[in-house]
Amino acid sequence: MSLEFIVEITLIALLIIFAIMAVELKKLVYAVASLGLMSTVLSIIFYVLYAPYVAVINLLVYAGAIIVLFLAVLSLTTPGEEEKIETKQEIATRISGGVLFIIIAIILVQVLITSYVGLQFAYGRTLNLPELMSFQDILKSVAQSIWQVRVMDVLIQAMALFVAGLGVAALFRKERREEK
Amino acid sequence: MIELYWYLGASAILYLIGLYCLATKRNLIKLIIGIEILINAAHLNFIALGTTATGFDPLTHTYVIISIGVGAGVIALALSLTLLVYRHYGTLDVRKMRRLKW
Repeated sequence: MSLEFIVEITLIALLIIFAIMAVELKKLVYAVASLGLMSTVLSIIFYVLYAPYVAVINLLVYAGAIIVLFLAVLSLTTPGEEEKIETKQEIATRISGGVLFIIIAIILVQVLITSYVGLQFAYGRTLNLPELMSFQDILKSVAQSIWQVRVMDVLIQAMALFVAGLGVAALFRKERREEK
Repeated sequence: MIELYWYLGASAILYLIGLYCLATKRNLIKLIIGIEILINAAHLNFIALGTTATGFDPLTHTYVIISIGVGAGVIALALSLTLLVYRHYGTLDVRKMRRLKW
């Protein structure tokens, strides 16, 4: 097992775990936070898959702006926790959702297997693209560009993020006082 | 890059999680989270299919960047609708939104 394999499998596992947490956590603030973590992990995966621009834009839009929008809407609606109802209708909904889940899973696996075989055939014949940098070289070049070329931008961004975090914290603190 | 099927499987699992969320949850914000997970699964699938061990196809990156913009617009619109719905009905439970009058 190479370093590359371990890193990528860990990233994929984190992605799925955070997605499940975003769906299943009862407190909506925690669900939104794990959604942001999922978007961040997805951005790292995009970078590993040689798509740096997509990674940066994903990080800016989904892990930044959308999460702030979610938090703003949560603070304006304040539904608190998702209520726990265990009626028959609830149980029926869960069972029907599970059945739907399994059926779609079977269909998707079939589609994936067929498309994977077709893709191997197509790409083996048509694409001849130049070689890319190795994994360590990519890490080195990113570190260099962040900490040497773009150090001022990074500092300013860190400051802006810090101020935004303080603002969100202040927002929640004020609401808690009003509740008391 | 590891074998392609790992990424395809990951995006399929993400897609299923999003569908499960849309099918079973009742809170509007949870539904929007499900939509975002679905969009992310589609993006991961696109990027993984556009990348091989020897190179990548830049056109897929372009499409995904455009799709990220569109998806952000969709999510923002859905959140603003959520806010309006909460002001109108006083709840975020989708089962309680049956009245259509103003």
